[in-house]
Amino acid sequence: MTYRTFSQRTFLALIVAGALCAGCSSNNPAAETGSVEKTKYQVIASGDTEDRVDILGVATARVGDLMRASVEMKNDSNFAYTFEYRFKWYDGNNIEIDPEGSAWTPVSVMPNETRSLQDTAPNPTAATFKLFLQEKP
Amino acid sequence: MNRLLVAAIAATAFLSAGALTGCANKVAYGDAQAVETVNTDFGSTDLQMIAGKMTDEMLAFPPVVQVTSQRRPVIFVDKIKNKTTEHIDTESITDTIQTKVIGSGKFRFVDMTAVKAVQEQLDFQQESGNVDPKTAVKIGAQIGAEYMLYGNMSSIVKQQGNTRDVYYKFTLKLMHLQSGIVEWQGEKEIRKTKTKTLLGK
Repeated sequence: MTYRTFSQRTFLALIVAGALCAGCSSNNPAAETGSVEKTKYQVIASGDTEDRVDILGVATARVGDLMRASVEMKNDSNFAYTFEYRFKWYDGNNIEIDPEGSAWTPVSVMPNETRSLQDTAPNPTAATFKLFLQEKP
Repeated sequence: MNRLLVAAIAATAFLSAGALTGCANKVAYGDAQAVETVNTDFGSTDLQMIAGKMTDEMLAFPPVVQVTSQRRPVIFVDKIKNKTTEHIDTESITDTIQTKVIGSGKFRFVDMTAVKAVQEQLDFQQESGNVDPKTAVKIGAQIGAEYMLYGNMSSIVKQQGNTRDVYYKFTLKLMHLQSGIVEWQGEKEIRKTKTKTLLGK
């Protein structure tokens, strides 16, 4: 009887601890801010992408008068990983350009695979960009 | 007893109506930019990925950058051949590409789908006698297209047991009309796989 009661209590304690830990997990996305050749950028990762995706480098270039961004990332885990990303571009006044023109793009990466996420600005007024990463909702 | 029975039936009917209302279908707005994975058929996310990549690549291609550095060449969009077994509105894909390309400020477009409507309007302005000739649009002053955008969409579908795999390939070409040279060509590949679970449809 005593043994059964101890097991039940332990089991209950584990469930409560697990629930508390789940409640403690952060819902705030992690943001990495930087600047490349005077171009400011932010990489904002939410959910598990923050832990599983490692940002290796950010590069920008001009194609004519359009800005092009390339963010190199790596799947740090030993499992294939599917997540979504999208670029948002802002002009010199920090106003988003074409807010509804940027769709989420799904991407699958193999374990430890490196991939470049690239985008070209919608028009020549773009001055900064943000890259959002998220798991499939 | 009869009263009790009637009350029980009335209560059951009332609760059933309430339950059915709670189970009724709901309609809600969704995010048009969200990834859609309802099934393996061609969908909104596929259209957005194709339009995004094609526009990106075309505008970043060095010879296109050179041509568009000093002026805005004129393009017309021809058909995108649908070589898949699905019904796909390929004009919707080119519409989105056209929206993005015009938005970039690098190219201008002439709309061949509006030729008939434009001709009717010009005829009305010139021949009906209802329009002040000083304000009527001049005939023969339209800008000719220099480039043609065209392509095709194909798919490979494979099914084995519970797994269905669909591979799409979209190819887009930019041809210089005078020389006949394909100045740029881009491709987007998409793979969608559906695996049926034990209890799934």
